Amino acid sequence: MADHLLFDFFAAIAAASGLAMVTRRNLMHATILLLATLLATGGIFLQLQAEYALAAQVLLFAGGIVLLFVLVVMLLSPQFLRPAPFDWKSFSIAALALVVVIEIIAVVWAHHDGMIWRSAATPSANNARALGTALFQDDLLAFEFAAVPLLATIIGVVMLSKRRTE
Amino acid sequence: MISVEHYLALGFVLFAIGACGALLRRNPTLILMSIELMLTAVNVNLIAFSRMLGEVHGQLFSLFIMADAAAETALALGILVACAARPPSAGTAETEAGEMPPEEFIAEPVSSEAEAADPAERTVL
Repeated sequence: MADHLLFDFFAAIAAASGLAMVTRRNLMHATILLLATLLATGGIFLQLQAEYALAAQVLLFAGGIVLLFVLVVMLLSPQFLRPAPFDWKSFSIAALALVVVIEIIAVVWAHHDGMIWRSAATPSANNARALGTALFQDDLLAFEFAAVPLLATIIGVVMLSKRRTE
Repeated sequence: MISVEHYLALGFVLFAIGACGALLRRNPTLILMSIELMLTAVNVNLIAFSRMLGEVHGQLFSLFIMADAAAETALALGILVACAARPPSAGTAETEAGEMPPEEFIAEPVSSEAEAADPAERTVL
């Protein structure tokens, strides 16, 4: 019961602030609402016993990316900060999409057979240790490949900022 | 006990919100934020399945997604700032083709001599 309440709480915060973020005209408000969504999703991660994912979510997403967004929103010229005009025609399309979303969820709900967690899957006592073992022993190659886009990003950003100072 | 469908529904709703935001909003910064929302929704699904199967690989994938999301955001925001410093707009449909950008958007042309003469007056952007 407490599980359900917690899930409903976090899910409601995540969905509501996500919806508010998308419809916001003020970019700074949208950034703060994105932060709320990400933190609420972190709570969901904790409920799923993924403590390391929660830590990464808070440090990387909520700490790093949202900070980046705040900085860029403050840096950009008024052209970007000018509230974007609301296009009601496209929002009628969005309403149609919402109907489709609700329909899909309803269909899934009608046919769901209660796939609850396998009882054999006892939560690992040390999530970070299990994750580290998988990351650095079984999937070391994937880990190394994940570093390639990061390197490409560093080079790309350096080139972007270098071109402007020349 | 909460079934996995609850988490899938949450992921689906978040992804739908993000997709609508990315497709319907015109502001490039908001489009990026919507993409972040979509990636988070994918993470919710991955971690829910990881919990359902009692495996750690779903969380592993979610970590990779987080790393790529951070890289993507850093690069995209860098491009945004770089484009904001020069006349062509990075806005998707803010300015029509051939239309002059709004006045406040046109950066002062800075010649290289003036820049060399007074480095203090260089645009920080």
